[in-house]
Amino acid sequence: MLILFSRILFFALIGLNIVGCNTVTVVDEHKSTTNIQLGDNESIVLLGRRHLSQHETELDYISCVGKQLSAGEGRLNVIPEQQFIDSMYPYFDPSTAPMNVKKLDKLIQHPNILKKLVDYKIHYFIWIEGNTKTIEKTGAISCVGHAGCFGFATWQDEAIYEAKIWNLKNTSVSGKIHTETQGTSFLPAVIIPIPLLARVQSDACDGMATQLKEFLN
Amino acid sequence: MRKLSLSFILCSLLLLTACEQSMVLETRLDIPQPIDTKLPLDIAIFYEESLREYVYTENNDDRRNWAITIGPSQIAIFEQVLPSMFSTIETINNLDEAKYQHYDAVIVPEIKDIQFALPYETKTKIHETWIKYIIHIQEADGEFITDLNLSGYGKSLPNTSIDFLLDEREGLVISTNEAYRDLAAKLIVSFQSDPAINEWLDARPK
Repeated sequence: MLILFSRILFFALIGLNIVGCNTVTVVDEHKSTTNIQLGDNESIVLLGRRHLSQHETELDYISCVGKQLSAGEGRLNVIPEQQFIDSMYPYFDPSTAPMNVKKLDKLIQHPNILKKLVDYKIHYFIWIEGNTKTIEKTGAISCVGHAGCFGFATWQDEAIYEAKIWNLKNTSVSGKIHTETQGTSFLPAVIIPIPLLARVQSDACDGMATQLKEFLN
Repeated sequence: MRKLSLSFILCSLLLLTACEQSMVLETRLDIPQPIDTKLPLDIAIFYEESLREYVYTENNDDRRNWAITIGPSQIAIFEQVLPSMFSTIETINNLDEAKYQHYDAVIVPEIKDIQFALPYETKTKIHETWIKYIIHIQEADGEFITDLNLSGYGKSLPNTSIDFLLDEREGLVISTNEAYRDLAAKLIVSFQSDPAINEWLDARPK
């Protein structure tokens, strides 16, 4: 009986792994100008929007996109987010950062601020707004003492991010990239819970980084 | 003699229990050095005693014997930030002192409120701190220029917020530091954008 039960569980897990845990990413791009290229020594900086505490862009998402942009073919010179924010203090902190290119234009009128940006050789600012959240949860798992856990739970995660690319050279918006990723994770439990997790945030990171590389190369 | 020893042991135990629940903390604040955007002004700053020696205290069932000393570290923040904002900055011991000097303005910071939230209270994994200040700005002769109402918010990263007392302290230090970083950022930016300050600057003889 136990062997039959184990086999059913085994095939159920394989089945879930095939149908579940998949993520779907949709990328939408809008280019305002056609001639977008980065010079050899020029840099970009990726910054997350965190002015609304309930909808902050995750630090690890920005770090993930930054790592992917600075590696592999067509790699870009990316300035680490925290290093940039600290060195530009207080002008790029969550509550004081410019919300549009007009405010950036006003900011760079100050020679010391402009000098710092020139020293970094920044050509593009990439502001990323959005986050990953769980939008639906069903099922339940109950654990009974030493007997183990039993049940089945599933949840759906959604990652929505939008990148706005600002050109520092002419203080204008060069384009926007929008990514939406959805995925369902499963947690079946027969004595031991076995999580089958959908890589929603990391797939959203892959999608965004790939598109940004195409955009800037 | 035996009774005395027993009383001593009981008192020691009580003290130990009390110490376990108390939160005595002195914040050490650390924010980045601001970019110099100096206004051509000679400024005096006056720290009232209530600000210099500010200690946040609370004693109830949830927060037993809390005493968070903030005074010295907030002064350190002002002393780090203000020199990046003005040509000169000097600390004065009373407001009358300013009348006999050629200061363009006098700044008097006043702490209005400070609040903390712990992970178990908000059902989140983070510590949070809110601070509220009024920055009084007046001319050397006491003439009112404006009051800046500023608030700062800070939170710890989720991984520092577990329910042990040691980490409780660490979480509060981090969130308080972030709140002061936010407040100081707003102070610098406000001086460049506040309409009343700009009006006062424009009205000054060139």
